[in-house]
Amino acid sequence: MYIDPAAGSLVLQALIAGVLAAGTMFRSVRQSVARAIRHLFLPHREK
Amino acid sequence: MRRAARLLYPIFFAIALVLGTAAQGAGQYRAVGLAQVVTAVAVVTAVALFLVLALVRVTDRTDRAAPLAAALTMVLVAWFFYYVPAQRAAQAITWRLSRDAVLMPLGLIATAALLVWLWRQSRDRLAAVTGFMARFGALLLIVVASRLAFSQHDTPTAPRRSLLVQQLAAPLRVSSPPPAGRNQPKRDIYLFVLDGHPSARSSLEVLNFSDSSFTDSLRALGFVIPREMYSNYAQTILSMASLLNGSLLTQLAHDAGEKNPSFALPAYMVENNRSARFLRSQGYKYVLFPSAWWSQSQHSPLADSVFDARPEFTLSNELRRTLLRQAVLNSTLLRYRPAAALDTLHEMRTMAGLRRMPADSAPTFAYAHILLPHLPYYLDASCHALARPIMPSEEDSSAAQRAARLAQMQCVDRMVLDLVTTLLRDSPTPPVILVVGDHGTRFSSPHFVDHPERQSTAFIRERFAAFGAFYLPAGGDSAFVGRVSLVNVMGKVLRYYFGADVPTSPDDMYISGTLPFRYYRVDSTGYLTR
Repeated sequence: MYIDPAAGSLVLQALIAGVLAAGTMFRSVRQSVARAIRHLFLPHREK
Repeated sequence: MRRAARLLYPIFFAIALVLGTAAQGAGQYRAVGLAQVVTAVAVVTAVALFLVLALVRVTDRTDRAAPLAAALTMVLVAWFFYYVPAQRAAQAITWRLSRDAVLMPLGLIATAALLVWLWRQSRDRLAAVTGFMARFGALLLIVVASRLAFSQHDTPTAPRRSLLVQQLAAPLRVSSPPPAGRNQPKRDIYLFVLDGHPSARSSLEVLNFSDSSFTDSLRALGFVIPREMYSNYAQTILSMASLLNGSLLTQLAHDAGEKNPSFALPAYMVENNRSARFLRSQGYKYVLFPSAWWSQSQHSPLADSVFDARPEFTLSNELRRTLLRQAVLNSTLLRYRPAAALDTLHEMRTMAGLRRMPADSAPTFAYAHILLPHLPYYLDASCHALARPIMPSEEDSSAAQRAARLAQMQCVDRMVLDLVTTLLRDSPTPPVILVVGDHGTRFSSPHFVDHPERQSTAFIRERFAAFGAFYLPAGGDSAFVGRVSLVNVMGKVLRYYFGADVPTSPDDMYISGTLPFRYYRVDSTGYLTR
């Protein structure tokens, strides 16, 4: 059997990456992503 | 991302295609092979970027030149690396609009419009394009690399965790040494696997051709041809692993998992096969004659020497050396130059190397995987290169392709007959010669791997009918009359000539598809069961 060359699924992955890239062009999206990362990795302050 | 680094985004897209192709073939390439292809593609794209920048600077010496050159290089990368994937994606939606006659003109019109638009943009606008494309390329790399990592996640540790691999790693014992006449002095052992060579019965049924001149010539030389010869698996990787290890691979469904598409385990079993290990322990040299591009038979840590069928360094040789390189090549516009992927003299050089083997006085186990008469079809019956080869992507069941298969089979038969005649003439001690196909043809269902569970009895009869002819001096041929399946070939040889304790395996047949370990057993009536 061969490695299936040029799988069409690569185009689907490119579409996903393209949409994500377009999203990151918006400042609000970038800020939301940064907030989410901080939320995940930085310790929460106890009230 | 730093400003200058952003301009390298065409390289990200080019590398993403390589990683995306590799993710399709887990276990079918080596890590170093992937690293080489990634490096080569990155370097070629970087050179293209540099050349385009130099050209743009001839007409534009402002700071607009660099982002413009990156965008123009990206257009080249898109055409070269992504036209074929785009066409495949379009094909899944509409055959009519995915034809080259439609897509090429549409692409050219879009490209012309894009080039005009890019040329008229300001520096700031081009910088924005660069910013977007750099993120796009980086994210694509992350997505594709994640998929690749997922497809390969268990490859390095799979052999250590496999029960079957551990069982086969135990050294074979010799319980009762054979009588002196059988293998004293030690005979050379030759194993030739002719990929996809059907049995004489199947040649007649499928290709409407009587292979009798070849088989009669072999018989005249002293070969025995079993009344019924067949493979245990429908795919090369499984047939080869079971042949070389003398064991069925049923256990791999548990060891690797039925949903695992990776070839890593059987590939490991081919490279570290039990037959070569045992014969080396008996004082034999293991000489590997690698296949032209099928990666699993190109390397072995056990091999004492590996024949080099590509003595010269040429760009063409490097492009087609491995399955991964061929897959990447076939994913680019070079697909439209099929001759680039073919080395029409590889098998001739291999045969020439094999003919010289008797000159080596050491007892030798020589294993050669000849990728004929399998697709692609590029040799005629006289072994001359065809002006218009038929590539795997064009595979169908037409009369023309059956004729091409037959011609290529006649070519390899001629080569094999010449080879075995030479080996028998030049060997001081009559050798053991095993000539087998790893499976038959698949004209009744060219795309069976997509639906292995739905295959007909006619397909099973065609696909499992592998060729087999054996030269076994001193009475070794007595075990090869009647019904023989590939899994027991090496066991019969090792038992008869060495007294090795190789258990006989059931002559079962299993079919599987893109999930190689999701087996469907062929029952005694030729139907599939789970």
